[in-house]
Amino acid sequence: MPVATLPSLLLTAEPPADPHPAADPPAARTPDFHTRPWVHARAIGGVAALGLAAGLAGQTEALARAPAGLAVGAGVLLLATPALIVGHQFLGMKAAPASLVAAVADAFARAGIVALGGAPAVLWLAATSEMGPTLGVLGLLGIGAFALCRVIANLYDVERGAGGAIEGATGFALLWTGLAALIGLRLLYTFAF
Amino acid sequence: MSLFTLTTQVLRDPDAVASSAASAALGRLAPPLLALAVGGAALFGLAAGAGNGPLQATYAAIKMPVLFLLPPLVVLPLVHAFAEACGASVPWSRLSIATLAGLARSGLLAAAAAPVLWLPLSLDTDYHLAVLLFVASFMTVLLPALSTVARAVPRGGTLRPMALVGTALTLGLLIAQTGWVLRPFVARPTVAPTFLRAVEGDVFSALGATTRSATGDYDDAWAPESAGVWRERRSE
Repeated sequence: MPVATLPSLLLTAEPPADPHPAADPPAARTPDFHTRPWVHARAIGGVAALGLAAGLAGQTEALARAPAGLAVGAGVLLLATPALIVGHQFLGMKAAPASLVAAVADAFARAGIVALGGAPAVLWLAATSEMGPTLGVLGLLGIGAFALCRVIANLYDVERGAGGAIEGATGFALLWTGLAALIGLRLLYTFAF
Repeated sequence: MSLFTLTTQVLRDPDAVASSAASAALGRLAPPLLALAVGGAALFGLAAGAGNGPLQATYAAIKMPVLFLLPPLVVLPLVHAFAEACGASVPWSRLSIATLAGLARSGLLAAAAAPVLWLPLSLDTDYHLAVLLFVASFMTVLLPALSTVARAVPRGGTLRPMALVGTALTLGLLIAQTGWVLRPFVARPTVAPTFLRAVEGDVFSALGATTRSATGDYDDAWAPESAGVWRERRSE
């Protein structure tokens, strides 16, 4: 019997959904991922869970490592965000300070969600090897890179949305990202080693 | 009949199976898809261990489904999180059924590849070559599963290449370490059949030792050491 005529297990009352659905509609000009319900708790919990999972192999170190990522993230936000807002306004760019804060908060919330998703993998690897601490640091570096790349994209979007010059915004975003990365690495060295 | 139909659908068009994202469809399709994945992986394990006798073949057949299923399931939260963070959210039900459909497809390919793997292993192949053949065959049959999962995530979003690289690296690491923990699948001919060896070091420490040995450096002898959560329990 030809395959096409065989009765299907998949017959349902509703037609099957599109296997390649479109992504979410283009993001609004002011990033708002961080305003969704429970996103803050999931993001903060995700970064803490990543540290906790990485410290599992040396079980006594687990609790000590848990806040390392949070400390780095909070430190970068506290130390680098003022430079972003002040520098941006000083250079006469168009986006409002609230949009800049939203751009940074949005990126860090997304990175925290990624950390939450990666925690089970780090937990399994830490439980079966001595790679936990190394993976914890690499994980924080990875989500840090993701956050900063997202900040660049968000800053570009908010400046474009405000009608500002794209070239200047991109250069400024790259400079600020470099500063934030250096601060993050310095704090990671302090808290994770 | 029903399982046969599902088998052909999984092989011909896994995306159609993966698109049945309704909870009812997940409940109906999950058991047969899981059975296909586990059965196929077990046959593949049987072939991998067959070179060392029936007992090692049975051990490998029991462990192979775990190696087949565990890494993709552990990496699934990361796939979901990356999709959400990149602005291309995918429902858990769709992701779950796509993973099962992909694994079922790979399981069927693994079952078909089992004789291909068994043939060289049955001819007293060198141990290291046998391991390489096993790893290459395993990765080859697993790739279609990963492809099905990747296609289940909507296109678009921001930073998707970064998400793809991060997920692939994590999955590769998970597969390597899980395989290391569950070894041996292809055992040394001189060693008695073993279900599991002690958890020792990690996959990279063994790779480093093998590389040094391959270059003739035997001075830095690699000695297995307990690792992970087992290390502290043993030292107590």
